[in-house]
Amino acid sequence: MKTMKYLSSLAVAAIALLGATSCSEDELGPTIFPDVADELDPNSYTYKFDKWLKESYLTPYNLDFRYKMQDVGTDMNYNLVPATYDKAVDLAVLTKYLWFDVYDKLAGEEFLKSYGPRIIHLIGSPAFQPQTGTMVLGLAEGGIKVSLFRVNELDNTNFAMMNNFYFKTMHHEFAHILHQTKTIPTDFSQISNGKYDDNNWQDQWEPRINSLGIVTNYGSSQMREDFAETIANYITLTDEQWESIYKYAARGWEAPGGVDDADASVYFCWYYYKDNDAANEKSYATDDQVVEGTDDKGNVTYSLRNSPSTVVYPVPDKDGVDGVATLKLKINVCRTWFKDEWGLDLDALREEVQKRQKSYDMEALRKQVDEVE
Amino acid sequence: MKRFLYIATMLAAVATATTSCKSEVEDIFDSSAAERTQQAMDEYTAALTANGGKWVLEYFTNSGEPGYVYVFTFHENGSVTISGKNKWIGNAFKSETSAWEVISDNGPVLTLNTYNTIFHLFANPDNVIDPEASSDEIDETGYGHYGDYEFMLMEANDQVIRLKGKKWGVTHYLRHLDSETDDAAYIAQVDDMKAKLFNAKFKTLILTDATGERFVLSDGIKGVFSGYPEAGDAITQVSSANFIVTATGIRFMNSFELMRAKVGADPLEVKEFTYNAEDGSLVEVSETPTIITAPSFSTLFTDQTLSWKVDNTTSTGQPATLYTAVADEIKAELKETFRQFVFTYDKTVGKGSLSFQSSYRNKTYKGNIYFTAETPADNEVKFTFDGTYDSGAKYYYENIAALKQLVELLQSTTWTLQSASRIAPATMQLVSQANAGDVLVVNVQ
Repeated sequence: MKTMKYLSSLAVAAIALLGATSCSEDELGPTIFPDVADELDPNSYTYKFDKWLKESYLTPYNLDFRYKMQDVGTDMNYNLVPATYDKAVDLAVLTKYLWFDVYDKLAGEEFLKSYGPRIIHLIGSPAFQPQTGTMVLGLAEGGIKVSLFRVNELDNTNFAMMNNFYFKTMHHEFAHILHQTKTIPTDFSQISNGKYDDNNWQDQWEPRINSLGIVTNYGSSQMREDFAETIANYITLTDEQWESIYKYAARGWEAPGGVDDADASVYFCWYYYKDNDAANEKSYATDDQVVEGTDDKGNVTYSLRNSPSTVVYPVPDKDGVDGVATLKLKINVCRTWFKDEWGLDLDALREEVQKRQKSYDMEALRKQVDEVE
Repeated sequence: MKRFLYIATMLAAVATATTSCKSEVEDIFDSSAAERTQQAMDEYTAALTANGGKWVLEYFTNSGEPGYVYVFTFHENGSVTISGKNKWIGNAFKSETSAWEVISDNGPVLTLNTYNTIFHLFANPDNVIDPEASSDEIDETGYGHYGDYEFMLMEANDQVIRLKGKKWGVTHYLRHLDSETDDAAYIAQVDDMKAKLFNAKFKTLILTDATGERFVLSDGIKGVFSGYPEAGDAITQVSSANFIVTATGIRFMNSFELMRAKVGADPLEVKEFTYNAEDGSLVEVSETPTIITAPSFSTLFTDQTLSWKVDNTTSTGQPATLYTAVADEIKAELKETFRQFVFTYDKTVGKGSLSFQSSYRNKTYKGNIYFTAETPADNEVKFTFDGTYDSGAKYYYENIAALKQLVELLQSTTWTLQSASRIAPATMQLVSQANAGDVLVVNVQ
């Protein structure tokens, strides 16, 4: 028994020794990464632009403005090409002037420093989606990165085109970043509930979409896209462009297959015959085929441009939505959300953008880069 | 029990003794993966910019179009000057500077990371409309030409760097050029090679392997050969492969596999050919080289679709003398200016024709004197004029003595056909076997 007790103690001691045997914590060795200088090389081909980007974006906003293509930073399923150097310079200086400087002025520097993207990535080409026949104009990924496509098509004399491809996209993507931080108001999400179509939005006739109270086809894909599109279009489109949208939003639209013809590529807002009751044959006119006139009694009449004696009649608005009121309601919800959640005056923002996009001096903006020492 | 405890104790003791604190394994490499990648990037960067940094890129996109030659000059400041000439950039020499970098991505990768309008167009997903294509060939699929602008650096020495396109996986080569090389002159050199190798008049070429088996190749001028065994079937045994014309010859994007006439036999694989300046053929870079030539000179000279115009400025001996005499007599007799002799084929009579033209004021006069041609050998032709001619030739043949003499001279002997180019013999010499000084020079029309 004593022997057994001895052996038992010995076993316990051995196990304890085994358990107590520890490996000492390794000291951290030197870094395994090479020491690569991150200073800009004054001899570099792109030094002036790189330095300007550093001073204009990286330092103040902690934003990496990437104009040299990094395809690992893109969706590799797309076939994409880099932006040209010159187009990248133009877009960088315009972005600063038309976006960052506007927010700085109205919301203070801290706003974009806090909520602005951390990366803007320029892509020269469109991102085609061959399966749907669509292309991506911009992407905002996780509130961190905004990718802008078609940079090589930039025409710096055409702000409508630039809005469509870039600045509207920037405001659109930024709206996503903002609502990923503070939720889209429920008021907005209820307005067009049931009107969105994520699969066929690209095939819609946009004026008819306007009459449903949605500002663009893309906005008709999902509620959150509608939200971003409403904000982006409100800020960037001119009064004239909005008048055109309201004009279409107020109309009734019909395709030969009926009001809800999902396959129709074109909808019309004029009938040849009142109520389109011509026996067995419906006839329509497009808006640009119609002119306004007055009859002998001074009443307003509408007739075909090429055949003034042919009177035409407006298609009645049967969609059950007051398009103009709906659009205005959505803008108002966005306006309130900006004010309540962000302390920002959406109308002031729009006014500043409108002012700048009508008066920018491209040469002066480029000079900022050219004059970097 | 005692025994059990003893065993347990001993096991614990052994385990304790063998427990090691050493958690590291021996390093296989002297430095970390990141450091080695950086080192490789530095080495490739140095290689690309070494000795003036001038390279020729043999660039391929997809298997349906030819390869394109570009001259690259990599500058140490991160810019690269790219020069080229092809139909996509207006068939004119162009040069443009953009940015480049070696990055660590999929291993060391050469990226051309700002758009260069004369190069990146092949990677652009927008359809680039083929200036030679009809409008119904426009393809808007969003893939463009399937060209790469990022390349994995696979291996390098001071003369050649092998690249692999990162997205599409095609192998490309950068070959070093002397720093003094003029880009435009080099591209012109490649153009010269194209002109030497391919002539639109010669629709087919013949590839002959070391065993003597012959293959018919077509569409070489488009940069994509179609080929089938001459003794085989032109429909079921056809295969195709695209290639690039370089300053020294041609190279296929992938091996060109030609099916042999014997069904089931291993195909013939060819990859690269150099131009043999001695006889104007393409010779495979191989220990048992195949060669590419045009069909035989006699086949081409008697080809019913081809016409050969006499060039009297380079002809010599009696043919040249008689040509001049014909022109003089016609001038004296008819005041007409003699224009040309052409060897051709007259489909209406089914015979070869020595066709001639003269003119007076705004009027042109034409005549045809008919012959049959035998080809005793691949490089020989023998004419037999049977005394027939059309109405346009009647007066001339009966009244211009030198014309008859020329006809007599042509059928008096067998003529040996020669050319400086076996692959595109656009100019041939007919050398009299009776008198080597009698040479008639003809150019394909």
